[in-house]
Amino acid sequence: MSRRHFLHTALGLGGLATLPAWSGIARPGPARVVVVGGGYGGATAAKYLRLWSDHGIEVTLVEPSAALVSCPLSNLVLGGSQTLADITLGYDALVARHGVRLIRDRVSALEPERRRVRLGSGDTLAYDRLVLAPGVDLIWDELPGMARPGAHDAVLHAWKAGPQTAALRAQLQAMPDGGICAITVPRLPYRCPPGPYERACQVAHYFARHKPRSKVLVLDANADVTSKGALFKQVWAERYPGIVEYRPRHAVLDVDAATRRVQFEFEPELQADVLNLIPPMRAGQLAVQAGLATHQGRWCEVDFLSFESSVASGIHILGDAIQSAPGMPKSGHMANQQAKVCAAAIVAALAGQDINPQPLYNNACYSFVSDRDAMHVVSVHRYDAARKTMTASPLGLSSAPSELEGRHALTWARHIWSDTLG
Amino acid sequence: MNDLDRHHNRRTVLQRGSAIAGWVLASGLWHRPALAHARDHFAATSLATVLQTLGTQTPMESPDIVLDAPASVEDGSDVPLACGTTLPAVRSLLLVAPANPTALVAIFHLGEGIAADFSLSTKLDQSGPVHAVALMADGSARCARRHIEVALGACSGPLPADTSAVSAIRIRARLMAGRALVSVLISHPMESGRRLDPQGQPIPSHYIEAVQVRHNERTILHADWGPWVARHPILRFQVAGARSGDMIELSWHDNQGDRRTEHMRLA
Repeated sequence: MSRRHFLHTALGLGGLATLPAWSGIARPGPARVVVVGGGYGGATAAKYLRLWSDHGIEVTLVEPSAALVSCPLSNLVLGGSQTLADITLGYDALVARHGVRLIRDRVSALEPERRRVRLGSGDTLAYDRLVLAPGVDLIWDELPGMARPGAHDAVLHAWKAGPQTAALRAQLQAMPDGGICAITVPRLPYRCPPGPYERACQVAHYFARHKPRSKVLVLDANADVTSKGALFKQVWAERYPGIVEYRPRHAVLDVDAATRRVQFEFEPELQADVLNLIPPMRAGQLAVQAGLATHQGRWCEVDFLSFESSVASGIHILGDAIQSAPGMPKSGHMANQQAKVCAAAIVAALAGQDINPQPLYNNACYSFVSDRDAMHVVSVHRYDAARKTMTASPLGLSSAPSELEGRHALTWARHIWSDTLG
Repeated sequence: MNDLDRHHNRRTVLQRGSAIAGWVLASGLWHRPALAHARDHFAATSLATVLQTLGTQTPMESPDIVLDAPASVEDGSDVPLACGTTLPAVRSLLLVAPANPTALVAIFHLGEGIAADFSLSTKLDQSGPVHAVALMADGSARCARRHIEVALGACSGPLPADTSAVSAIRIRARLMAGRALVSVLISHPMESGRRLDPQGQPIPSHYIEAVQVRHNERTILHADWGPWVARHPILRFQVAGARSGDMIELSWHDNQGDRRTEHMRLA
């Protein structure tokens, strides 16, 4: 069913708080939205669905973790200037201030034909609209070496902030001076394009202070640095000479986790003392299992006016799991912005109103190059009705990292945390 | 489509399928345009004119032709495209990107013993369609089409200065059930002739025009390339009837008269 059709049907039936167009039976009471995943996208959607419906929509957020550990700023934990506690954020305000119902569980299956989800506990939750913010799933199955016992304890990704972040920090601390930390970067698209290069800066910052004979090797599957390239290369050359070495076109073929050896298709194999393997990614498992990852079996295609799945009506998908428009990075800021477009569209649709035909939003991305100095890139994204996609316009890029921008970056983090969860 | 698509472009389209039916059967005849006009099709600016130049009519879209391409790319200067088919009696496979200044990217003329299944790093100048076209032995053509959104075009993009001149060919292969899965990294600047240097002067075109692959004594592939194959391209293909100890040899020549050959023995 097209959205247009749905809207007209809902309008004809009186919109909010009456019969959902698809149910076939009248169900009195408020509309129900289930949000799966409490990251930047899911948490923002839950909050704004409540705010913009004047608390008229019942919103249930399903998230297994007790708190959100922020990926933005998490590289600073590796550098030593932030702790995991600094970047761990609770869901209390979503519940207490906004009346979001929080269920600590995971969704085991979608049952779209019955408009409900099944939880790990076995219970089901019915919905009128479903919002999936499942994040990314790391792809290991093309790396046979990572299937061996203990491989995931020896070789860390730390690409989902949390225990792996702390464990990678511990590996760096345990590494003797003169060692090599290798960071592998997958081909685009992946979560947080500048993240691996910021991480290289953070590890180098730590090495420069504590283990000055050590090296950071950035082994990139891409042909060049994928974000803020000239700035990162300048930082490495000027601030971390002899510490950071960048090698493009190094797609990982396999690893031996026990010896931390990494093989490439064309380049000679390497051995590292700390091997930080950032693998290729796809949409979170739930979306892939439900057949929503329609692009190359990896990413979920959506309508950028509502973030409704291109193949499943009533199911909206946000954040890193979607097939992005060009120039639209997989970032926490982007997920927060998408969530508001999605929440507004759902509120409008359930009220029988037209949805905004011209969404416009931005992305800001800061990278810390030391404990204090940061640099940024900003872009604006607007809907192109003819091409049914978002087009990106660059808005600004730092000329160089600075301490002032470092303060801006921390302010940005506080603001987006407050906007997402506060 | 999903079962054919994979997370990496490391592999070619069909190699995971059990039935590889696309081997060209003992034709032994190269179907190539007459030498005098050999590169006319590389001047064409639309799919129709490319095929006209090759003496074929506009192709039908066919589900039997697979084109594995990302829906959007941030950087058009290195876009892996994989094309393949399990149809028998395929003479040639083409990759065509009509949104580029000229449309034809590459044409693979299949010999005996190579699968109709290739992956190649390409350049895309702007958003638009790409086509994989199979030219059949009966003179007909079939195709698959994908739309690719390109954020940063290959011509406009600030490609870093190329410090590595033409150098080695690196061939990697592994045997799997009588097939050799071959990947080749060719170091070459692949300048299209459409880019400007920092002083605003045009950078002369410098790209590989022709590639040949031999399996032992037999030539199994002739490929003609244009300026829209990516810098330092990776080419992937499959060889049937391959055994340990066999030789795979690849050679190329470019538009400035340079040429290279490299070979390896299957382990």
